Amino acid sequence: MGALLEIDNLQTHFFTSGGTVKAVDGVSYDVNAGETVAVVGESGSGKSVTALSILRLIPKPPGEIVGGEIRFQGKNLAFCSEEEIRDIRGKDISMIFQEPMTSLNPVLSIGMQLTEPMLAHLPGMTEEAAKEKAVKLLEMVGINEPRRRIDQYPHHLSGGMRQRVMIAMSLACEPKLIIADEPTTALDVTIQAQILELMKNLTREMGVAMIIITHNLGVVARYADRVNVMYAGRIVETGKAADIYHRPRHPYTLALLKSVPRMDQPRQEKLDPVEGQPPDLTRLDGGCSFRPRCKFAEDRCAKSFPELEEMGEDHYSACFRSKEALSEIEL
Amino acid sequence: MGKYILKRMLLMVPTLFGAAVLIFFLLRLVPGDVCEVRLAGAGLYADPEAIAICRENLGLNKPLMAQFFDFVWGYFIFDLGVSMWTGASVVHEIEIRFQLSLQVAIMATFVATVISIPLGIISAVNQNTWLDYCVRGFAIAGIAIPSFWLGLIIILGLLIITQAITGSPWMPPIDYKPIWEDPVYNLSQLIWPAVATGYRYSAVAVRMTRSAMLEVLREDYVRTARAKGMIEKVVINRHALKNALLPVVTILALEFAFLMGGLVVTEQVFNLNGLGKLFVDAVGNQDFNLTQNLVMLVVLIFVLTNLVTDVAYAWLDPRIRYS
Repeated sequence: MGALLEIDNLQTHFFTSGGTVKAVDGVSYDVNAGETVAVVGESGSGKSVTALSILRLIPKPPGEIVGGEIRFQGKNLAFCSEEEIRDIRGKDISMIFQEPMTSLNPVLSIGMQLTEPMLAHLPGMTEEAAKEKAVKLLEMVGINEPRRRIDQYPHHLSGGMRQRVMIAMSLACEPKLIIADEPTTALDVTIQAQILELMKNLTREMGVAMIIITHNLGVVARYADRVNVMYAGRIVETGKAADIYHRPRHPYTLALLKSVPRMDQPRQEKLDPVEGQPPDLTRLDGGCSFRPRCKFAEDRCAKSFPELEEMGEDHYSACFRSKEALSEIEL
Repeated sequence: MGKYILKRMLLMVPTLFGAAVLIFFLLRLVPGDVCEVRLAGAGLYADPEAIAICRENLGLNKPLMAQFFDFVWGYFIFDLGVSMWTGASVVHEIEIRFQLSLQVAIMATFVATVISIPLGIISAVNQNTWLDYCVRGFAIAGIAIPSFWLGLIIILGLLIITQAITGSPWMPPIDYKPIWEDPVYNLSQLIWPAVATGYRYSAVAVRMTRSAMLEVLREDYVRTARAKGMIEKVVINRHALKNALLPVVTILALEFAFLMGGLVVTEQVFNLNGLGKLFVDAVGNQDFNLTQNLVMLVVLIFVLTNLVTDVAYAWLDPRIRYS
């Protein structure tokens, strides 16, 4: 059986007055049914753009998918018709966004926003049935007094509660895949864990696959089955969560791991941030885009971009010196 | 909600009183009065005694504070007095014109709404395409063209077109019949000034709708609606428009209030006997009593329109409703 979602050499570019921004430049990864895949990277690495490209939610102009394929159940979402993608949005693939405070419509009731996708996508769904289901969904995501809540408006709810509503909404049509774009970044730390736990449990129970986009490596370690590390519009390392966490092969992954405090390691004196800035995506050359910040950089890194190379079972890294990178760390 | 409306109604009292003070004393700052205008209007010699008698009759020789008290007291005993120029009761003078002005204002606001909201949406959704440029051109033209000129062109156009089609020119009727007496006759007279002024006022509202929609269409919740697989019509009408309407409602409401007394030139062009013309005549004749009452009427309309706008806000935006 093939994967549920296969992204193959996706290229999404933004055509701006300052030049073409290659936000996503040849990204490929698969998501199997029921699996949780994390996409990790700094701001501007193209992880959100990849996610938005899957549902074709890139604002056009200036953004456009210029190449590659996104196959979902045999259909190429990148270039199918507007009607076809609309049928998939919210029904087979749903999305949770970063900002719960602005992602819900302030002038529509919670009930209306929850029932809307069901009424649009599920044939034979009546308004009463949708409302009943909305109450159940709210209960499922841990919102108290769901019957009262569906007549309320977003401003009655806290950020955490709104994100729960977003999760309920994403589950409304029992999708096969949920894309969560930094679902906890805007929330308090205490709420973050609750929300992630909730998402993990619900997706497990319902057998829904999930792409979770984050810059938080703690999230990755705990909730993801597989991890893709992105840098400057490309995947630089991909593998099982445990491999990425304990045996990183790419210097960038390594630097990322060193920059966060870890509970499973002895306390270091101080953290080691990734020096420098991410590159300007309008000015990428043919070489490795991480090399200006890389401790391992050498001459050949400027000449060509290293391809993803197999490092172990289901573990790939795009670096000429992957092997040395591993020996560098004591994890 | 009821409590809120009541509170707002009570707040109207100081506003109206302030307006009364202002208009009463400002009018009397202007040299001369209705008696001088009437008896010595054309620069002729007037008998000072005749002027004194005239003032005596109209109560203009009383102390200012006494006159002001009479003016304000009139509202409590429902006696607004008479026009100092015609001698007819103020209520009568206003009544016969109010109906016409109200109808034109409602129709013009209707025209403006019907033009501006759909065009604003079309323009925003098709931003920077030829459709958008056409709509924006249409809107700019509306702001640039004075409505009296448009009125003249409309009348001229009607004459030429009817001449060409039927062989005899037709022009809108020039005397007013209430809509419940003869709706066809009434509408065939008032639709033209309503279109001429409505187009002008729609221009501002088109641009307001467009920019509000453009802003809202970039909001996260619009993206959420798209991510839910909503069809574009639902995204625009249900998710975006309701959020974009607040500033548009404000503009349209203010315009409506302004139309009630401000259509001086358009009324002249279409030969309408409305409040605008009455206003100009009353000021020209220094008819203090009529002018004061007209101003108070317009202020009242403004205040009431604002109240209605605020209630509409609450209906459109639940955040206002519950706070």
